[in-house]
Amino acid sequence: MQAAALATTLFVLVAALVVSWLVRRQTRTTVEFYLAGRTVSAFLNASAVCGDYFSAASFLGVAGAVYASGLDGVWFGVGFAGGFVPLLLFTASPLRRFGEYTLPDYFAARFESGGIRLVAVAMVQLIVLFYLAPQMVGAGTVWELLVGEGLLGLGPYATGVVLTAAAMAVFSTLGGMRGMTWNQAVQFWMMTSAIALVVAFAFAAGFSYTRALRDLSQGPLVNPERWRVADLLRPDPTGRRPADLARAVTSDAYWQQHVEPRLQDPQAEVVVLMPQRSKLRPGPAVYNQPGHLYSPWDHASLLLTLVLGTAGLPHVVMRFYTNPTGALARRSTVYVVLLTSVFYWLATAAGVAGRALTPQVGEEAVALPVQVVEGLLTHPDQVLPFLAQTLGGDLLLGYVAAGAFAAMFSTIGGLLLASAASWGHDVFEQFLRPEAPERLRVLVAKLAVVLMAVVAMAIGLAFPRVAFLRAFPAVIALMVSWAFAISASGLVPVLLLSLWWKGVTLRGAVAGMLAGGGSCLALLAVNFLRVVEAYPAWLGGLPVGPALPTLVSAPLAFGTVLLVSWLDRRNIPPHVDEVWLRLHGTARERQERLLERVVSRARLGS
Amino acid sequence: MRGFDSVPEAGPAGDALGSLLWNYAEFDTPEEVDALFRAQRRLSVSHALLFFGGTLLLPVVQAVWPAWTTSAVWGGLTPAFITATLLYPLFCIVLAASYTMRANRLDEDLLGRTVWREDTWEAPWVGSGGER
Repeated sequence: MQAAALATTLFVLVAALVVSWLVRRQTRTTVEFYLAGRTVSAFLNASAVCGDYFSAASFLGVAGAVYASGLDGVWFGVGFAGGFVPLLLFTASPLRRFGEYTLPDYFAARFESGGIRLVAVAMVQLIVLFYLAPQMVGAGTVWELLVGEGLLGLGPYATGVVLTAAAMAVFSTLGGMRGMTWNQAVQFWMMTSAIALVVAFAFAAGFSYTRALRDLSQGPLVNPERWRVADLLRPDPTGRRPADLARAVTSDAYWQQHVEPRLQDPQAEVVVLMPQRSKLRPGPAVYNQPGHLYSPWDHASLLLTLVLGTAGLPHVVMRFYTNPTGALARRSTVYVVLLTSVFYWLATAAGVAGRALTPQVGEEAVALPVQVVEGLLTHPDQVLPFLAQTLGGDLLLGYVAAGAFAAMFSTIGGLLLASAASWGHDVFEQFLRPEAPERLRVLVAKLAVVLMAVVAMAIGLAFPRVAFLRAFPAVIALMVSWAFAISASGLVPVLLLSLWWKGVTLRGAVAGMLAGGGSCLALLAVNFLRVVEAYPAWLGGLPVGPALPTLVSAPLAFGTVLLVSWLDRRNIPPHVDEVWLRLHGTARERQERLLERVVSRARLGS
Repeated sequence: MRGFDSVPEAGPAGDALGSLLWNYAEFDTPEEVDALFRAQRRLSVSHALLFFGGTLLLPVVQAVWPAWTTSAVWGGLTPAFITATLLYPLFCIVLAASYTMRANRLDEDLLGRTVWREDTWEAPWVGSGGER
């Protein structure tokens, strides 16, 4: 057991509990519980947005992606950072000025329809589930790796899942959005400082960014891979076996000790080094060149997914409702772009440092349960904890463990609150008990948080992670990108067009959501079936699309909204001018500012 | 045409604070908001064209210009690597800051009228009611 990891993780939990306890009295109304009374300052909100946004996929996954893939891994983080620019340009300010609670709220008011609210609720819950599942898997996996002990008779993985779900249910119900804001902000700075410390230790140990990149890019990119012996020995159409490729880049000592003795059993599994092929041009992939992960289509699709998807993530959008004004929502977003850029630069440096320094350390030198093959980690996501223990001992490892849990807590908390707002506010308050008193509304909101925490726990425990990890080694980052793809296709096209074009009609909006969301899900399912080799033969003739479907599904959604709205142009909502006054006018927030000034002056006077 | 105002539903509270809040109203007319919306949309779309153009240009450059990804500029840093790790984030930050300054200035320039309303409260901005 990593005592330092356990101690610092418990410290994060206790600190979060204290924060939630201190603000518990400020959750008595729904606007306080869901939106912190809309009084969060720009910088605090920016820190909280980053905490909300940076999940395990960012904290461990981006450094891992850079470690394994070099330049193509960098684009994963850069896309995350760039995603806030479209959000700033098109949605942050008008949505805040509109002044509601959730995205479905906006759609319902924009089109005066309960039906579209329900379609949007379904889309929001879908995104939350796709985002939540990998976070829970990450929580269990990180606990297993860093703490390694189970509690109350549970295994280490299950302990991580149950503890995380229970902790988040308590923090979210106790502190609401205000507690969540402070927790997310503190947790963001905790993970940023953890990754900065690892990078600082790496530089102190003699790491040079430019020299490392040059040395790592001298030959083809080689990564450890797990293979079934039968597949390893099967020749390709040119007569060459994968085993021949692996043998050429693996040392004699490793091959004779770990591979050769198992080659007689076709069902056995071996871990070998394998030269990686470039998807961009013929030949091998090279560390500082693109092509390891993405063809040009895949690259464009990934970028479009990440930069469009951010604007529709319900837990991120909800944070922008907490700013006092639209102008401050914009300023918040600029800070977010700045902070995310710094964070991902640090994650990139950590990934490169890991690749450069790992070969100097054997797996026997660290107490973590990691596997190192010929100086390379078999699980790239472990690079940050591995570096931390190698360079800074148990203390730095403990701090990185705290950062990893902070990343998951802050994201899971935000997702639970966004999901609860959708159930509590959009379903209960609008359809089931519109006349419910405020106390009952807050109670239902808290119950919805607990319920979603139980759902999250069930997903985490039931998730077939072993089978998934076999098919998708970077399952956390991959599933998060699926959530981005659904958001970029099912919500964002309708959101952008309806905020900036009066001509969008109810039918156009619903058709756009269904076309974008539906096509995205269908294409994701097709890709998934291909990877797990369960693709039905009758679909065999379809061309292989990019790994992420946004390049097809998002334009389809935009086109559907435009076409159906044009065909339905006699049914433009009659109250659209009033909606425009709320979306783009500033009278309400000016009046609110005046009220705040007068009240605070009156308080000072008394 | 009536514009948007944000004032208490009830009448003056009787004290000075209540009277101030009751009588002082911020408001926007649909015409003003429409002009602002069009200006903001132009600003957003021009920045978005820059952003998406720049973003989607990068995979194209990587695919068609080998020197972009292979020629070392400093140590192992290639133009593609420098762009991904430094120039593209800087591009996003500058774009975001530039947009925010201009958008907030537009808000202030095109909106922000107030009115001191008296007991005869009947859409005072109709005609010459409003003042900057």
